Amino acid sequence: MLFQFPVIVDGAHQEAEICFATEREVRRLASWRPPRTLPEDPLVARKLFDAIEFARLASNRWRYYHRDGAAVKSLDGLIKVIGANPRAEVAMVLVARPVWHSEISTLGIAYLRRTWCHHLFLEFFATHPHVIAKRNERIGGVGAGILRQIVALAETLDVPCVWGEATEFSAGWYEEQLGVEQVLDHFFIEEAVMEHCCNELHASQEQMLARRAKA
Amino acid sequence: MMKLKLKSRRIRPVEELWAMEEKLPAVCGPNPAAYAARYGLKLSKTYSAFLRRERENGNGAHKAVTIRRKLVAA
Repeated sequence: MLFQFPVIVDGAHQEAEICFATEREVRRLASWRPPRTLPEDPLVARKLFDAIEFARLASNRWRYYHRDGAAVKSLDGLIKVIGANPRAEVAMVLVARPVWHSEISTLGIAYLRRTWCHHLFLEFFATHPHVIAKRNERIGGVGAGILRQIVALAETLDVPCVWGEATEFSAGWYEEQLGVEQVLDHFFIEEAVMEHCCNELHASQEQMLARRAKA
Repeated sequence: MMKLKLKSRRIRPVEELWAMEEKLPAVCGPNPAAYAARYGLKLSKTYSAFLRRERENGNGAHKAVTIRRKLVAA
């Protein structure tokens, strides 16, 4: 799988790609570090350390599943596993990378599980500490892009439901991103919400292709 | 299970979705400590040290070290 999605970098449109993490990439997540000087804003500092800790936890959890033969490293691998055992539960890490030349090699990650009943459970996703700190480049749209690409993955696999947990800090963001009335401590992207997300995803992809054709 | 209700079926341009980026908590998922506890994982020493520093001085930065010379009476 190699989907591309638009992001905004220092006010200009750029493209990023998202793919399944290889074993090497998953191991490298444990080496995310904060910038040398921490931002003054305690909330941003907290975001940085939470992102680093989640990258490390994702790396740990994925390797745990991998040892058990229940982690996938590609879309083909996932399709094969589901074909062999429709009730298989597998873990995967999606990695978003910049397509333009950037000092940041990974923009963000998402740790997901395909559950036994063919749903996708988004355990968490995090953006890279340097994307959060906005030191060298101001990169926007990574969160929205990752969420839409998870919907794209669900659409590709014909998964009827993507679900996850929302906290007091993320509930409002999910509400706005999904365009729904209220998100409490969990969310289910399914039926009309899934259809709407797919429509918005297709519109943004068409916009990206049109921009590419113009350039 | 609470079904989500769409506010509107209007297809929003990607720029509108980007505008919400400031509100992104950067980490969407449970609290790392809660997550680690749920799955029996250990929090890293760095993160635990950050939480300790955060409780002490707000943004979790290391304390500035100042070296002062002791004044010795002549």
